[in-house]
Amino acid sequence: MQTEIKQISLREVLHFLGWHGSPLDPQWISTLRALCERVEKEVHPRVIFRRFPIESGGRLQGTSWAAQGEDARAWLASCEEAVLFAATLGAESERMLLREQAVSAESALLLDAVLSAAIESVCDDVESQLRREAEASGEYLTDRFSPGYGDMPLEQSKGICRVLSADKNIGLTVSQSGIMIPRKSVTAVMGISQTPVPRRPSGCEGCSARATCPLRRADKDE
Amino acid sequence: MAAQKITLLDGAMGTMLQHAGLQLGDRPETLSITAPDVVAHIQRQYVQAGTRMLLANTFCANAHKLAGTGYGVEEVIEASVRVAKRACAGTDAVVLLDVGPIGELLEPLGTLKFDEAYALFKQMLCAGEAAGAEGVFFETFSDLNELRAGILAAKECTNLPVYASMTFEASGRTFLGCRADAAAMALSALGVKALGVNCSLGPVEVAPILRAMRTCTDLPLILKPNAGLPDPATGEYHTDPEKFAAACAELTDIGAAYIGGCCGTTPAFIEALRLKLAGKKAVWTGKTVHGICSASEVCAFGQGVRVIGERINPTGKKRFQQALREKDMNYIVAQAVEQADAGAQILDINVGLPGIDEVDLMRRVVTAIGGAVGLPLQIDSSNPAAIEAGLRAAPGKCLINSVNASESSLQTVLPLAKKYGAAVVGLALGESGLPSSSDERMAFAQRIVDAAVKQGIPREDIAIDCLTLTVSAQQGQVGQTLEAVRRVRTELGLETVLGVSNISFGLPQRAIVTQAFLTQAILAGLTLPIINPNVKEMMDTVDACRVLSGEDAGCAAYIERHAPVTDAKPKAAESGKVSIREAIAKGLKGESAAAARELLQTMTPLELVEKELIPALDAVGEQYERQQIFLPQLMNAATASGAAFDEVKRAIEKQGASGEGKGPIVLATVEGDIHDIGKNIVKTVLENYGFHVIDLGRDVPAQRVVDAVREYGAKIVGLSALMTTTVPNMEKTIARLHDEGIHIPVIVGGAVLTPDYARQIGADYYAKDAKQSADIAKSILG
Repeated sequence: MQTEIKQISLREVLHFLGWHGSPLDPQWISTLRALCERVEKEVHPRVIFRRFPIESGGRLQGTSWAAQGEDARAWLASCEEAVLFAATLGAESERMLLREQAVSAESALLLDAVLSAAIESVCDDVESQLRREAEASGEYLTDRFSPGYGDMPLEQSKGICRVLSADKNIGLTVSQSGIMIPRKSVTAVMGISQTPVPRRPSGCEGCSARATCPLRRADKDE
Repeated sequence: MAAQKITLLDGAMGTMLQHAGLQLGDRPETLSITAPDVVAHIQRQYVQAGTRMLLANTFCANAHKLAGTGYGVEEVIEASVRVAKRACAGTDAVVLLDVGPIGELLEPLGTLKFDEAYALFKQMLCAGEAAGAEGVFFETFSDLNELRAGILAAKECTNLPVYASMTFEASGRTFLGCRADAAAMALSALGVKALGVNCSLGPVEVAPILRAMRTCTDLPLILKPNAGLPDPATGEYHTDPEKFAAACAELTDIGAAYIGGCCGTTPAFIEALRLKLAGKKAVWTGKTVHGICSASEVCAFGQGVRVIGERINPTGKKRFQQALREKDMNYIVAQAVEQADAGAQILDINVGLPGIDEVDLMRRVVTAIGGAVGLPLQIDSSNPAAIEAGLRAAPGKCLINSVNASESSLQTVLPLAKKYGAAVVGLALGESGLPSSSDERMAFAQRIVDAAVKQGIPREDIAIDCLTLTVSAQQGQVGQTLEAVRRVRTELGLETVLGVSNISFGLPQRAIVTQAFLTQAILAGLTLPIINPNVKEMMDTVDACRVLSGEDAGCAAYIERHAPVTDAKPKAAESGKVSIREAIAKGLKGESAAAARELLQTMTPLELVEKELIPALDAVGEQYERQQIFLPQLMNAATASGAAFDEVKRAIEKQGASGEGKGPIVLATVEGDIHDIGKNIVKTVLENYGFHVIDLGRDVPAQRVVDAVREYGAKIVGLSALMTTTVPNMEKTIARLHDEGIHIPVIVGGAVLTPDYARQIGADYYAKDAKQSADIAKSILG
């Protein structure tokens, strides 16, 4: 399913660029804003999600996929169903990066950060929409949990893509070395429960990479 | 007008197998071995419903997708073809090998090599032919080049007839941006039996896509759409078979001759098609557009002037030659981007340089440019092997530059044009050398046309280069060239090519003469001028000629390009002179270079570097470390200092010494990883600190790092990897260097690395960012 990027948060872009609050040239900011607008216009993200009952043992019904790792299992513990989700900014984003990179590493850096913020915003939008739909039918949706979070192996992306036929349905592939291409792509699992579910501590606290991550936010989260 | 009887294909296999209990994510192909009766039962239903071309259950039976199933390609394909034949028994239905995408992206967007894809397909195709399949049906492809790899494998390794189908979005493009008309042109060029659309959408939504294909091919079309659009929540389809069949039937009058269904269709859909199409034939008229294409652009011939950009060519360009020697693809791609932005519609690709491997470079350059710039290409070489490498790698239908009328050229180049379905430029000269009159040019042209047509190359795929000679040397030839252009257009009716810039060689202010010649040549009938599109006067001339000829209807394009613009953004007030340190700190490139030039009046280049540039960079680096500035600002400053370093280099070279920086340092993102933003930042910063960097790019095998260190005499190696899954390849690369007796310092970096981990994998240094990389390089190289 094709969707649109609603709005890229400039703050999020600056975060990806490692900004710590140093003074910024207004003209530079307007260049960055223009780049965000270009990406919002030219990049057409694609998303796919499907809902499955969780069988005892954690396997999703009708598939051979189960979340691995303590963290993901704990995450889905109180859930009866799960949504598998994949999103990608598509081949256009890769082409833009290749092009920009040939011209200058600086502009490629900016574009990379803008695209990172863009895929986050797409995922946030879909997640909110699914949450609204769940809540409308009296259900509760957990935050999304992606391979690579906590102790959930990165390799599980491949399985999620396979169950969703992500290559055929949204053009998202996984390389032999386990890299999702297009790079600006996300896979995740979300739990659905009949009872309220705890939300993930926002920001960096819940992340296992918090000790060394260069993007760790100074405070809790803004 | 062509006509053909309609052949019914089958419907969905996956949908049917899921109803029979297949788990999502499992490989349906292995069921041909584990549950052959289930597969045969479904296929038998299709044959009974009317299917006469049955696709074996082999869609994903490639070695990568079968990995981990415990079954090999040959056994799955043999079993699948056998099951399908069983389902056809007693009927006149035939079995085709079904081949889908490998599921990984090819270079340059992905990491799968064209040759690897070729090998994976070859294995399937040979197994299919051995098992008795009567043809191959490639379907659901989004990447034209992946499909091309499969078709070439089928043509080169088997005798199977080839059917090729792609999947599109409602926009008329595939996920990879391939246009339907471009796909039709490129696939026709490769000599398939039929081409078309499968999957994608429902038959109603697919209609405009199939119509777009019709404009660029004479072949019968394949129509194998989904059962309408799925319910987004459940993935279920709701179109009824009769509506589906009625919508499909409407497309027989544009030549839909192979009709079936994809996702969501069942035997009932094939039954409905059989009833609806009974007694009908597919009829169609031939293509209306000819020319060349990339995956994303069609460049139509016969509709006016099409500009060929000449800048991808090392002749007389030192920096370009260096880029070729160092395989610096980013530099070359940047030349392509610049020309595309300037209005080029075709890019000439010439990488011929003494002492380099032209075949390998042609493949690399064509691949790299194809990822970033969507223009069709003109493969320009005198080496047939290099031409073939270019034609193989290019996603689309290319123009070959060139064949001439000599027997040896006709015999080596025309078969390549035929095999790859490329268009070809015929250079109007022969064994006897340069022509001196328009008559001689015409005679050579005629000879080329005759030989090409005899080879089966369509006339419309031939363009003639009437040869521009330098006016300062052979003034009398200009008229002959122009006359020949006129005659090729009027007497032969072919496209015409000229290397326009040659005209003014050796004269001052060349653009004046070149521009006048271009105008005269276009008036005479030149349609494919090879020019430098970055020279404004050249493109202005093209714009004006298009207005005067009527090609630019309503002068719309001209007005868009040349309407006076008032610069809305006032230029930043001239701040007067700034010091070089301030210019670098603020990232002002022009000012930094200007200040450097001025300082070089009173300082030696070395003094300037030591007393001004290095301290300025150090100051910026310190601010970065103290988080007073962040990465984009550091990069701006580095780039500004790079502009000053360029002035230093020029000054040193003026003194007769080599201006090359310290090093060289070989950089690479290791095999399997394509996350190279960080590596590129390191490269920029190192270069702008005055180091000479050889950038091997991304997804670089260990051996290439070893080879490059030897070839360029590198002093340092820098490796990057972003993912936990690719860091092991970093370790492998370091081990390979050591095994080969290379013990120069290795610096590693990447998000998941730590200093401890770096030591563990045998690296000498860990750099947390670009600034630290530069510090380490400085400490090693001084």
